[in-house]
Amino acid sequence: MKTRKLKFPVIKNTSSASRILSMNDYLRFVSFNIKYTLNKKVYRDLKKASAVNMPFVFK
Amino acid sequence: MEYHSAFHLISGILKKTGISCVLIGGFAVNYYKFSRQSADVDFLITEYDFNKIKNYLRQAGYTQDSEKKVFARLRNKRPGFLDIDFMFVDKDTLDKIMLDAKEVAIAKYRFLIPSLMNMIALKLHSLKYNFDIRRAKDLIDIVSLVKLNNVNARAEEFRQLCLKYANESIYHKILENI
Repeated sequence: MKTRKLKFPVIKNTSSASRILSMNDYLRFVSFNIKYTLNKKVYRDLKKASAVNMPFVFK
Repeated sequence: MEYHSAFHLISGILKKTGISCVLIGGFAVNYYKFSRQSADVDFLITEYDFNKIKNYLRQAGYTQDSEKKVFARLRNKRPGFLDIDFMFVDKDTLDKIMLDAKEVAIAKYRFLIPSLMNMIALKLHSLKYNFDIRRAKDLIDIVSLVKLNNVNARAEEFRQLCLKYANESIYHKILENI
């Protein structure tokens, strides 16, 4: 069987630095997520499960 | 006074009462260059001061979801009023964290956030006491804070911080992920 050599494009330098959001932009980002993408029940359940019951003490 | 957001409300209450608290969680992590999803606001406060402000929070529509020995979780149905978690610490701890805290503005309201190393210490503490569940968030937070802020995780000072607030195993987990 004849095999064909496929030539896929090689995309270089795609990993750009992650964007740093200003505090106000971050607030907009969080508000957007809450309004459109977040399942509040799942989030609250996760928060409950991940609770830490030992107080933080500065050492 | 009519408040229009959680930050407006907390800022107003702090001004009115003269109480101090420190913003932690996703907003503080964002200040240190790591922007990840969050859906609430977290503060460090003494339990004594929380008891002084909780009526103001109730008047603004917050209801207490849960209150344990070390935290209180509040929610509000009004848009713009994010869930708020208050993590209780003793006064001495809060005072020490405030000593080198940074001031940030969010929607023109001013808040204090812990220094980078104190943020990492808080995350180490959480990892230590609930590693399996918190690793997905706190381990990533620590690794990201270290990388994005050029912290030398191999320095003895950083190792000592890990040992003080967590343990050797968590320190190695951090190194593995950097």
